[in-house]
Amino acid sequence: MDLAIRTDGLRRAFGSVQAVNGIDLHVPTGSVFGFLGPNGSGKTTTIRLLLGLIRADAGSVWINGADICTQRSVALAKVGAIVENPALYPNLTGREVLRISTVLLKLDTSEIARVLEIVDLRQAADRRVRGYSLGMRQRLALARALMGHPKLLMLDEPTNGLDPAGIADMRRLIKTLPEQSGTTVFVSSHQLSEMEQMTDHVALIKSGRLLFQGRLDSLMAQTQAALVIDTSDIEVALATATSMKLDAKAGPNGIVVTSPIDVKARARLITALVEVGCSVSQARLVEPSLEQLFLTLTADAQMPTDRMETMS
Amino acid sequence: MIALLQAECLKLRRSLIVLLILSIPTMVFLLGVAAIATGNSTDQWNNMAMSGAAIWSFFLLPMSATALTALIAQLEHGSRAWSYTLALPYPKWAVFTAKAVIIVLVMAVISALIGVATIMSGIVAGWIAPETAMQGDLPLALMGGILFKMWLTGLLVVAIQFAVAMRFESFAVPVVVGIAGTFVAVVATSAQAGLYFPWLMATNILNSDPERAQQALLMGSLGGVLLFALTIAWLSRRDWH
Repeated sequence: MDLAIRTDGLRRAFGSVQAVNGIDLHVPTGSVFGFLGPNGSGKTTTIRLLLGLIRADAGSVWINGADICTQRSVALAKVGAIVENPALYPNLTGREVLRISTVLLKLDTSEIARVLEIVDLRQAADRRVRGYSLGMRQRLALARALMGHPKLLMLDEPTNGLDPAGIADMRRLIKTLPEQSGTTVFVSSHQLSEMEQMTDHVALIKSGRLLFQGRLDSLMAQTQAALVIDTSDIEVALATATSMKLDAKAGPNGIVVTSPIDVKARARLITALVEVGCSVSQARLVEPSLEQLFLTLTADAQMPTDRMETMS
Repeated sequence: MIALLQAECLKLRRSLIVLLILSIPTMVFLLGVAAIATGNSTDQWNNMAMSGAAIWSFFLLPMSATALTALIAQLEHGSRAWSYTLALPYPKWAVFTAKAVIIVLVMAVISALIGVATIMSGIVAGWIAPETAMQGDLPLALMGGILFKMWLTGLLVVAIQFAVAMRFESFAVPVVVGIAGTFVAVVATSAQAGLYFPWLMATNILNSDPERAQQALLMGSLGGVLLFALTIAWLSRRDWH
């Protein structure tokens, strides 16, 4: 499999804090790869290591097949990035900020109009960045990252500061980039519901360690749907489920059965509940969201290694 | 490198760079006119050139270096733009070298304008008060030579300010270093060891002892080039957040 990003045993500590702890990241070319983790989990540090902004204590990084340490210019030649904040020059206009990039990347100035169009910032292009809202700055930073048709786009929390319409636009753009231009998008976020809608591969990071990486659908397939039964007789329903050796807990309107339960067992449980006099108003299977899954995974002290999907 | 230099120039648009370049020679010009027209200055062109150069080297050169390096560093620090600039497909040393080259060139421009301002102040004061008109030939070669040597000697102070301004995110740190250096220079003006203090090296170009002037030129210029090289190597290796 072609990899846009590959890291081997990447480590970085700040004092006694191990910010990145032996990360082996494999980002397939052409994917929209969500890099997910809570605040302070090591996402931004990892991105800085990927871009060579900080040095690794151990391990190596390859970007588009080139080593970031020994072939830096080759590795970064076709990479667009936004790291943490949109890093722009407030004394310049949006167009002037992009003009700098055309000079540095040796691009035709027509590229400015193209990227402004993509992020819908043409109207404000000749205003100074100082007067831009955070959302506009984020869009301008994205426009700059898109200059020169990068093969790899690294976006650190790209929806920060965007309004709902801006978030939807960003999501649409990110989803279409691999198909339109073959760009690999590596996007970090703690907004899991957002990531669920736009990524096809994910890596979950907590305390500098990867908990999972692989296809989003394989991650979701590892999880168990919960059976939610709405009833007013919660105590009786819980006792009935427990007597059938099922794990269950009280929910807002009834009980939630978390044990694996097949169709027959489901029918047996509902029948038993009716027989003991529970008024069952609804029973449904609820697939866990990425967010719930993430919370479950990060609650585990140690993730079993068999949950790491093989990528290569 | 050309692209990096061009980009650095573009970044300076609508910054305070023009104000910085013009304000210091303007100050020298206005001070010169006032001093000459009120009869508080020499009436010899050569002495006038030396006075202008002394004011520049003693106080305005270190202050210009402080302000200029801080301005250029703050373009990146202030907007946290290092994460973009240093993730470009260029070696990090090339990015910092481009900044250093721009700073050294702007210092050369300001030096040249100081020469123009000094001479213009003598000419204009002569128009305002003809009795104070300067005597002798225009000291173009003398002025040019002194300012060129001061520019070379001042490289060490510029390199010190460059290192501090690039390293520290806060604007205050390079400003405090610049003010402190200039203050110590004022106190240590006549000290024998003042020759070895970077903030006094440019002033020592005017030293009546040609050997000390030569020593100052060598220490300031070679020390400056060496410190620039070390600073660029160090900045290229450190972490950028």
